Amino acid sequence: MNDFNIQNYSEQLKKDLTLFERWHALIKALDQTQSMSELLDILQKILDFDSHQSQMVRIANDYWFPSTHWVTVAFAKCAAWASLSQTDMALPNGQKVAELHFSEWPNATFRFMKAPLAAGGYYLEETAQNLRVLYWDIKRKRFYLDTQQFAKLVQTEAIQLAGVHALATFQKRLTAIATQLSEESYDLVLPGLSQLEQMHLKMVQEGLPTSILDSLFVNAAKQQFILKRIRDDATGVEIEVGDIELQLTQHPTNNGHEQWTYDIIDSNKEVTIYTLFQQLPFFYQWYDDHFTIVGLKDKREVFVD
Amino acid sequence: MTNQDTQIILNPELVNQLDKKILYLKQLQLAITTNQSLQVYQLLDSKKFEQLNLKNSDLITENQSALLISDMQQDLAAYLAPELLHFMVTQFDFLTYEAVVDEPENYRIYIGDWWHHRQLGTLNILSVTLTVDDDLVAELVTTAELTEGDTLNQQKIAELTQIVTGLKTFLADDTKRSLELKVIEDQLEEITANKSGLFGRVDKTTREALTKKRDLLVATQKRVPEVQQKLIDQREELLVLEKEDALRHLELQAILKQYADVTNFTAELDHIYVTYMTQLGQK
Repeated sequence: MNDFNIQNYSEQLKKDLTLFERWHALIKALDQTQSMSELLDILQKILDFDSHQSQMVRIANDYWFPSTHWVTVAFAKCAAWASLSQTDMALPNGQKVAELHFSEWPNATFRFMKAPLAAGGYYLEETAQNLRVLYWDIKRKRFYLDTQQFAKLVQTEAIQLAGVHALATFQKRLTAIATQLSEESYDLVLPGLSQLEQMHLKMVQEGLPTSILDSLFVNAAKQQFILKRIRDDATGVEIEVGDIELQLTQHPTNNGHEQWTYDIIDSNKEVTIYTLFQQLPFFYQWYDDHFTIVGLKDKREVFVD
Repeated sequence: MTNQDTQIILNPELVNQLDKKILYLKQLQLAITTNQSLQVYQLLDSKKFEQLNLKNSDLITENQSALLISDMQQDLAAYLAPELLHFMVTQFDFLTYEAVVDEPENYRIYIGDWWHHRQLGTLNILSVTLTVDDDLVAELVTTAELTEGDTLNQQKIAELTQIVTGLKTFLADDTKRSLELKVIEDQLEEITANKSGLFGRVDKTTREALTKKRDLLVATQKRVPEVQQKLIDQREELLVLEKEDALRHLELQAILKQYADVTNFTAELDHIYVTYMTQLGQK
C-alpha cells in the first residue's frame, strides 16, 4: 500500500460494513422468521451471500460457517414448525456444521451435506451410518426422499430401538415439512412417506420376474408369513400382517408393459411401507436384494454417491 | 312268419325299452327342475350309487340309460359343479379350485391359496372323484416323517449354500486381486526400468516370481464373468429347492391342521363320493 488514501480506506470500510450489515440482517431475520416463505427466501439469500466481496473485513474465525450449516439451521426451524416432537440443534466441538436431533430418535443425529451435483442442493444425512434421508435444493425448489437409504436407515439399531411410533412421528414431521413446501411451489417426490399415501407406490422397473416373487414367497414362508394370490379383480399377490395387507399389484401401462406397485391396506392409515421394512426383516432383505427392480421409484438421479 | 308278424312280436319289447328311456329322461328332468342333485347323481351312475346303500327315492335306473345323455355331459357338469365345489371347499377349507378351460366337468384342485400353490389333483364333477397327484402326496408323507425343522431338500440346500458362499467370496475378493495386480505391474515396471542396474541377477528372479504371480492373478480374474454366471445359476437352483420345501411345509401345515396325518387326508379324498352323496341325502 504505497499511497494511503484515507478517503478510499473510509469508503471501502463503509462498503464492507454495509455488506456485513446485510449479513447481520439476514441472520437476524433467519432467527426471527415464523414464515416458511420468508425462511426460504432468507436461506436463499444467505446461500448467495458472498463474503469475499468484502476487502477489509474478513471472517476467517470460529464464527464463520459453511452453507451446509445455514441449511441445517433453516431446516431445524422447518422441523420444529412441523412437529410437536422437539428438534434440537447442536454444534459439536471443533465442527463447522450444526447437527440435528429429533427427540423421537434420541440416538440418531443428522446433518446436511452438499450434494455433489452440478445443480447443487443438499443431502440430509444420518451421521453414524452416513445414510441419506432426503435431497433439498433450495434454489430449484426440489425436495426428494432417498427411498433406498431411508429404508436402510430404518433398519439401523438406533432407529429400531426407538420403535414404530418414533418412525411414524419422524415420517409425519417430514410429511408436514413437505406440505409446507408444496405451498411454495416445490417439486416433491417422497414415495411412501405419508401415512395417507400408501397406494400405487411404483416400483423402479416395469415387469416383475416370477423368480423375484418366488424369492419373496420363500423369504416370507421362513418367517411364517404367506404370500398369497390376490383373489379380487386385481392381479398380484399379498401378505397379511395382522390387520394390514401388503399388496404387490400389476397394472398395464400405455407402452404395453406392466407396472408393479406396492399398496399398503391399513384401515387406520398408520402403517407405511417403511413401517413394514422396519417390522418385517424378510421384506426389507428381499427389497434390498432386488432393489434395482422392486425399489420404490424415486428421483434416483439426484442421489449420487 | 311275415315281416309284420315279426314286428308284432318284437313290438312290446321295443316299446318297453322306449318307455324306460322316456322314464329315465323324465326322472332326470324332474331331478333337475326340483334341484335334487342326489337323484341326478343316481341317474348318472346308478351302479356306483347303489353300492352306497343309500335310501333314496324309488328311481328306476339302469346304468346304460346314462348313455342317452352322453351329449349333455358338459351341461350337466356345469349344473352340478357349484354345489360340489362348495362342498369341497367347505369340507377341505384349505383347498382351492380352478376350472379347466373347455372342460366343465373337470376342475383343478390346489392345496392352499398361496403363491404358486401346487395342484393336488383333478376333480371330475360327474363322477365326484379326485384324481390325486401321487408324487405330491408321497412327498408330503415323507416330509411328515422327517424330524421337525428338517426338509426334503435340506442336504442339497446346504451344499448349494456353501457353493454360493464360496462364489460370493471369490467375487468379493476381486477388488483385492485388482489392487494386487496393479502393485505387481508397478513392481515389474520398476524392475524393467532398473534392468541395467547393479542388481540384474536378483531382479531376474524377482521378475520371474512376479510374472508368475501376475499371470495367476490375470487367469483368476478372467474367471470372474464365468463365476458371476455360475452364481446366478446356483442361486436360481437354490431358490427352486427352497421354494419346493416352503410349499411342502405350507401344504403339510394346512393338512395337519385338520387331519391327524396325510394318510387320513387322502383316505378322506378317496371317499368324497360317499361323503358327498351322504350329505346330499341328508338334505
